[in-house]
Order: sequence, then structure tokens, then C-alpha cells
Amino acid sequence: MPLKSFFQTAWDLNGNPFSGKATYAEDSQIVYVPEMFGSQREEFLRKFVQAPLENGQPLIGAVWSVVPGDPKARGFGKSTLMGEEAKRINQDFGFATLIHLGVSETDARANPVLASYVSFNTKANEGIANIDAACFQLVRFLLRCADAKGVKTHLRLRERAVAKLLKEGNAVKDQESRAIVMAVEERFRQLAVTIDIRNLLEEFLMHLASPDTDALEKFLSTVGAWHHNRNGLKYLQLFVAFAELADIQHFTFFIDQVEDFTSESQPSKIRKNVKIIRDALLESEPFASRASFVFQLHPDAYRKLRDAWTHEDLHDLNYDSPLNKPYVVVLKGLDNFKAACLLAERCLNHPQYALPERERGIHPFTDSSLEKVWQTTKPRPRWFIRVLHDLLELAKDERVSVLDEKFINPTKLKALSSKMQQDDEEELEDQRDDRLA
Amino acid sequence: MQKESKDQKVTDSIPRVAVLQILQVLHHIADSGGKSTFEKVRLFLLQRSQRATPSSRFAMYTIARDVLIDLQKLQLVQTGILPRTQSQMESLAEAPCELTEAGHSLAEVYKERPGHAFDQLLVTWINNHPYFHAFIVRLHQQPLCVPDITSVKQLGSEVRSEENLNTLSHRIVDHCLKRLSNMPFPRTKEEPFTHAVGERVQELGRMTLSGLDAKKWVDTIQDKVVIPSLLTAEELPFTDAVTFQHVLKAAKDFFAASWTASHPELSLRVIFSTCDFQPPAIDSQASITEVIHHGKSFAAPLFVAALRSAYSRVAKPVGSYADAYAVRAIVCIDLQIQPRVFAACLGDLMSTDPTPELTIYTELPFDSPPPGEDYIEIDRNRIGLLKLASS
Repeated sequence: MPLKSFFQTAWDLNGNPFSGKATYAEDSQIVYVPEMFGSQREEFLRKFVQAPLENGQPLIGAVWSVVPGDPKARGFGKSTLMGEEAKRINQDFGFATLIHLGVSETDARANPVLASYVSFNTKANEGIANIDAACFQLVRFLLRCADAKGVKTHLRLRERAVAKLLKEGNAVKDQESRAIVMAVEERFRQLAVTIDIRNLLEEFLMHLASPDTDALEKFLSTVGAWHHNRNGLKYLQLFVAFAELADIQHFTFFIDQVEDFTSESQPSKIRKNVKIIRDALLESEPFASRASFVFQLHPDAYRKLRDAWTHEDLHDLNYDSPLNKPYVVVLKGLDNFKAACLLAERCLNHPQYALPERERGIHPFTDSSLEKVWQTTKPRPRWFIRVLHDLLELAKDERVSVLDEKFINPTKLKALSSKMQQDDEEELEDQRDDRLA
Repeated sequence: MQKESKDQKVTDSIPRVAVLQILQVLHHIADSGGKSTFEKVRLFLLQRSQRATPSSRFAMYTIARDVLIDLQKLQLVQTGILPRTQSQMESLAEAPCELTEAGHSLAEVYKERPGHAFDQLLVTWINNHPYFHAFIVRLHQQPLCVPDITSVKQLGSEVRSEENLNTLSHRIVDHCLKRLSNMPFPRTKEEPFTHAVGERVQELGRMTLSGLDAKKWVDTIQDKVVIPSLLTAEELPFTDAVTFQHVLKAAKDFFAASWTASHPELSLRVIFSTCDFQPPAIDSQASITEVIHHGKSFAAPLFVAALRSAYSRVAKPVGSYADAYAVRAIVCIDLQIQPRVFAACLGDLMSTDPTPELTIYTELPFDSPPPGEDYIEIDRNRIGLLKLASS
């Protein structure tokens, strides 16, 4: 019988519910607390999911974080908000999200939507360093999603597409897959800019049209980096055309870590990729009528991107222009204690960590000690979570069951928050050091 | 297949074929002048088969054999000695088959009115297949509920490595009885069920279960423990899962019964009758003479009320869209109708103009139908969600 840990005996926890790194990775099982963003979550969803449906037009937008004197302004939860909300939207094609925003059930049912998320990451194995690579990963994100029962998005889209084609008389039973392929091919024949659907792309389309989701996933996992770095955009085009058959009215694509792309790219490459954004993503079907692109930005990234952006005559995304308000969200982070308290409480009581016998609440922290942590780390959620993580580890080490103001003294807090800032800077240094590429 | 009943052993053999295949073969022999051979019947079935079968001189021979044995048992066909094994195929391929007078008559009915032929065959089956008769009588007492085991998670994933067979038996019994408690499952059946589960788990033994992958483990528990134990508790004369499956399939082919696992309040597969008989099937001694299906004319007067009631139980909140499969399950069980009768009645309602009393909204499905069930289809329209509105 394994020994019970201090987390279990003192706090009824399975482990430390706060992440030591608190950086977002879409595959990790983080505790997502949408309420921590307060009214900004509604603002985000209204602008990037509801507004394009209401206006009948997609948009390009941006999610910013801004801290005076800090051009990177990291740790505000931009990635978490984009990635996790995209997953939630895909669970039910945006139904719960639209209902939450006050859309009627009828309208929400009539306007199924999808969202996807990709993070530029030039340092990763087979890095995501250009628009094609990013587009391919957007497809993979979408196909990884499933509903509450675990049924994959691909299968649900196919089911709907088949039902619609049958209803319109464009498919016959037992030949549904063929009907889907023909419908997608026909869609592209009608476009001004066609794509050549051959070889691997043809195979991808056939997998999309078939009900075998496992085979589709296996196929995508075998598509090599060389190919998808040059053809990723076409994969996304095919997927969007397929999803259109299933009545998907709008797509919101969240593009994260733009600074990774800009910091590692020469100006010519930046210009080339911004041109692709304009020509292929914003002005060509199947995206032009139903796909919005939302970029994660901070001052440093936008500064590098700006010339190319302006050169391509793209909509300004600066956070401080009042004209940009409909397209831009500036995250404020944990700007009030209520939000911080809620974040801590949700993490501490999440079923992944809280044992059944644990009483709800923020213990082992007290209200005043938690407020102190917040005061020291505000407004960055990442720092707040990291400090809470480290405090729990320290308490576990010292066998302290209650983390009150006596335990969380000013000296300790100052040391921990300095460590946070240092960790962030070191992370940045790592990213700049070519030896770690 | 034998089961000790109170007075005598009841034996039967349910053919592993579709009812349609039986009637098609009858018709084929009639079209061939009333005479044919085993090999010709086999080739006829092969040609008709929609499944991809290998081109082999043995393909479909077991089906041909089972069909002809059944037709002979029902005195619709007289045959020579039929091949029982592949090795007998060569020598017995030309075994003759000839329609009897009753066979000619039924073939004629099938040609003119196929539905009537099914009903006549159904009456013949009930009167000549004791297993099938017992099953139909049982369904006419009340729906039969099956607590299918489809995943290890239902019993707890750690149960696969459970060494103690008694613990495994208890887990199966507890789980199944808990689900069955949602229906009227009499206490008098609980004890035989519990006893049968214990016996069957012991018979299987640790050696059989260990080394099986999760899917095979689940299938073994379902087919070798749960189904036979339930059939024992229900005092049906057959206890093996394969016979049960074929009896059920035949009942569905005849439109005598249907099933669903989509009832939102019951985590069970519910099997229910969808027709009546003269004399009533509950009288297990008398021979059946007539089938009275619960068709559209039967269901139509009751349909709107049943639909409203089902919708109000499924829609959360009322006024929003509801899972159409769940609504269908409730209505079909309550009215004892086939799913296609549900679709027909719903289609009729939807084809009329909306009224202030009832307006029906539907949405195409994002989800496949539940396993073992068909789409709800009206014309070419598949329905996944349903909403009823009234002022």
C-alpha cells in the first residue's frame, strides 16, 4: 500500500494543482478557469465568434497583452484563452458558447461554428515556422477535438455532410463517401483560384470523406514535414470545404506566438508570409467568406510585423487605436482579487486533484495570504499560479498545513516573484540561443 | 439446444438466416417450376448477397442449408439429403428440393403480396419453432430488458485483473441488477439470475478470462455470462447468446418486435413486441392464426399525445431541441411500434401545415444513430434533433 503524500494527508489533494511552469501547451491537461478572465472572456467570444456571424463577414483580429515597460508582456493567459476556448467551441460546434452570449437556441443550432488554434514554434521538432506549417497544424487541432461523448469532430462533420447531401439528392446510400469527394471537388472547380488535388492531397480528401477517423489520423501522422510545410494551406482549404458541406457557418483560427515567427524570420520571409495571409487566407475562398484569423500580439511582435502588414494594406491591429476596438481584445490579467481567488479556488477543487473528502474553498491558503500573493504578482495569471505552486511545494517540504500570512511572509514573496521574473527572462534567453535550436 | 422445463425438454433450431432469404428461396424454387437443387439454391443466394463473398464453391452453403432445413421443417419444401459439411458438398450438391402444396401456396402469396407472406410465415414459425414461440409469449407479458455489458468501465477497469471469481460475479450481478431496478424486474428473477451468473463465471474460470484483450473480455462476459443468465432468469427455453440474437433478428424481420437502447431514463436495451396475435400470444397453449401489426393506422390516433409526452421528458428545457433518438425510443416502447412506423407517423405530421397547437422543427444529425439502430429518415431527411412548439 503506497504511503499517502503530504498533499493527501494535509490538504486532501492528489498533487499540486498549480502548474510549475504555467505556460500553455494544448496537449496538457490544464485546469481551465474561464471565469478568471472576467468580462473579457465574453468580449473575446463576442468579437471573434459572434460578431462575424452577425455581420456575415469574417474578420482579422488580435489578442494583446500590454505592460508598460515590458514589450513582451507575457503570462496574461492569451494562449490559454485562445486554445481552451477553441476546444470548447469544437465540442458542440459553438452551441454552448453562442447560448452563453445570449443567442437563441434556434440561431445557435442554425449557425454551427468551429475554431482552431496553432502556435508558431520554430524551435519544436519539425517546427512550425511558416503559414503552410501553421495551416496544417490548424487542421490537426480540429481533428483532435471531440464532443463530450468522445465522438471525434471529423465523424460528426461527416455525419452532417452526408445527411445534407442525401437531403439535397446529391448522394445515394452506400455511396456517401464518393458524394463528399465530388462535392468538395466541385466546390474548388467553382473557385477562381483552384487547387490541384492529387497524390497526398487526394488521399487526404478520401480519408476526410470516409467514416474511418482512425485511418484519417494515421494518415495525417505520416504526412512528412517537407510536404506539409509547402502544402499545409491546401489541407486547410480542403478541410474548410468539407466542413462547409456540414453547414459550418464560420471558422475562427487563433494564431499564437506570432513573435516566434517574427523573431526568427528575416524581413523578406515575414513579407512573404504576410502576403500569403492576405492573398490566400483573407481574400480567397473558401476562407474569404467564413474564416476569421485572430493573432496573438504584443508590442515587440507587432513592431516587427508592422511594415509588412501595412505594405499589404491589411487592417491595423494596434491595441491603442479606438477604431480597432471591434477587432482587438487587450487582456488585463487578474486585475481584481475576486478573479484571482476564483482561479485559485477552481484549481484547488478540480476533480483532477481534489480528493472526494476535500471541502470546497481555498484552504490551505487563507483569504489574506492569497490576496498578498495576488498583490505581488498582479496582473499576470502565470506568475500568480507559479508562486502558488512554489508555496505549496515549500509548505509540503516544511510540513506546514496552513499557508497563512505568517508562512507567506514578505521576504518569501519577494524572493518568489523575483524568481518568476528571472524564469521568464531565462526562458526568453533560451529561445534566443541558437545552440538550443 | 435443450433446456429442462417443468414437464419436458424443449428443443428447437433457429436458422442463422434472414427471414427474407427463406421467402426468396421459396419464390426462386417456385419460379423454377417448383423444383430445384441445393447447388442452384446456393448460387441463387450468392447472387442475391449484397456482401462481398469470396468466389468459392462453398460460399453461402451454410445459409442455403439452413434455409432448406427450415423450409423442410415447416413442410414447405421436401428435400433430399443436404450437405452438413464442406466435404459433403461435392457428393450432395445436386440434392433435390421440391415445393409442397403449402410451399406453392406461400410462394404465390409472396409474389402477389409480400407482406402477407411474411405474416403467414410468422404464424407458421410461431407454431413450429418453440423457442420463437416462447420468446414472443414472453414479450407479450412485458418488454424484455437486457443490461448489456459493452465496456469494462461499466464494471470498473480493475475488475479485469480480479483474481477472485466470486468478486467478479458479485460485481456483474450488482451492476446488472442496479440497471434492471429501473424496470419491473421481479425479485423472483433476481435469485436465478444471481445464481446463474455465479455458475457461469465459475464455468468460464480464471484461465479463460486471463489473457483476453479488453474487447474480447467484454464480449465473453456479455455472451457467456450476462445473456445466458438473463435468459435463465426469464425461464426461456434457450440460453445461448447466438440463438437469442437470431430469435431477436427474426422477430424484427417479421415486424413482431423491436429494440432500442436509447431510452433516456433506462440504461438498458429494451426489447418490446410490436404486434398482436389471434388468439392472444399470452395464451401459450393455443396455435396462433393471425397477426395484427401495430402499423400507421394503429399508431396515428395515439401518436401526437405520445410524441408530446416523450418530447417533454427528453427536452431540457422544454421548448429546446431534443435528441430525436431518445424521443423515438420512448414513443416506440410506449405505443409498441416499429421505428419505421414512428418515422411514417412523424412524416405525416410534418407534411401537414404547422398549426398553433403543434409545430415540429427538426435538425439534421451531427451524430450517427445509436449502435444497432437505424437513422430516423423521412423522405431523404435524416433527423437528429426534434423540437415541438405550441402556443
